[in-house]
Amino acid sequence: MNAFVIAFNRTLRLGWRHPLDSLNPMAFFIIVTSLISLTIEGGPAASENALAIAVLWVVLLLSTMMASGSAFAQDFEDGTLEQMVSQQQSLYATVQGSVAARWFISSFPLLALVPLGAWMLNLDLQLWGILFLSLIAGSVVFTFFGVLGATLTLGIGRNGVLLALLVLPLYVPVLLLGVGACQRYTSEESFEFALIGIFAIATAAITFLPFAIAALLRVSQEY
Amino acid sequence: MPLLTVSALLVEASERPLLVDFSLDVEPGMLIEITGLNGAGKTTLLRYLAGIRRAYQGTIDYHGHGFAYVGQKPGLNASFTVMENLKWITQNAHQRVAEADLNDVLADLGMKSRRNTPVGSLSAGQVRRCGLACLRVLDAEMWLLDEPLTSLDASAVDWLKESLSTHRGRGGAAIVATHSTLNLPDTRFIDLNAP
Repeated sequence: MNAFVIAFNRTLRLGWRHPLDSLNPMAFFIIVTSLISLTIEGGPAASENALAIAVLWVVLLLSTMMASGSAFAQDFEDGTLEQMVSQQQSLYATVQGSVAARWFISSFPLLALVPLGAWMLNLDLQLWGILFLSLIAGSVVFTFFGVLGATLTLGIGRNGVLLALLVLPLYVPVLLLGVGACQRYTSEESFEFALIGIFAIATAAITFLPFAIAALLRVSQEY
Repeated sequence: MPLLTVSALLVEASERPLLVDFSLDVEPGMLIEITGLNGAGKTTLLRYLAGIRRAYQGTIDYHGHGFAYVGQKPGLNASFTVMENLKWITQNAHQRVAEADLNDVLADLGMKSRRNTPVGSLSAGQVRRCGLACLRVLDAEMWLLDEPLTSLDASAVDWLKESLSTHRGRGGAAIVATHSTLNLPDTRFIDLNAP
């Protein structure tokens, strides 16, 4: 078995043992979307698609950040990370496998809730496709950035605020591209460039961020 | 040929040098006990030898069949069962070990009945036993042990001593950082506080 599969299986099992780690962000997604839907009388009008798209992107972003914040924290505490760093020549595949599993157990269920959110916010049906497509790529980037932030703050107690400060600026370009692609589609402008841009960032994140995360994991053991 | 050669290693903690030009050859069958006061650098040295900390000055070369490291933290996930943790340890070291062999090691340690118990439900001593089980599970010629006697009862200490003796007899070697000596014959002591 290669390191990717080992890490994927392990993280998936851990997610299964701690279902609240996935369920809490899902509950957050539903609650925030419901509150916005309820506080705008009758929900946003069909003409307010831009608002619905922005809300869904931001709520998915925050939910993903919530789900990624604890990445590798348990491994750091119990010494598993020491064993990972000690025994492996390269942590790259381990990080990729672990983040892929994390996306599967936290972002995938959130994406499954997007149609519900789109319905609650009265989003035009014809926009669901582009929204969903852009959110798939966006959620991948958000997960990688979230894990990157979590790794940066390993060993720091109560790291929530610091994590948000570190990670939120990284999310902004993806958020703008994603929302921009959907809004351009709404106004029948060219949206392909923005959509390709998000997928390009997602591909770059999958390829390059594991190097950075692996390096940070090693650094976390230096002190 | 030595199993491990350490040459001119600089051991630092928080950018403060603890050991300068530290050199060591570990031959098959050797048992080395690293002693010293708190903060002398015992744990830090072992972390360098295990590759957890990177050596920026000096070299660490293993010539044998790899190493097994048991640190002060157990390296076991509390949510996984004892068997799941042992399986992960072997996978992490890219080794295949039959479940029957894992059961044998657990039986030796008196832990077989707890094989399907989550590690989080075990006592500190039992967790320590499971951590030490990886020594027998992994095919490694060099053992690196950091305070292995912590939380162990007399039978587990006997098991560890017997395992060390068997390991040395097979041509393996061990470096143990400890405050309490294992009292095994032919042990070389390195006192990090010695001038």
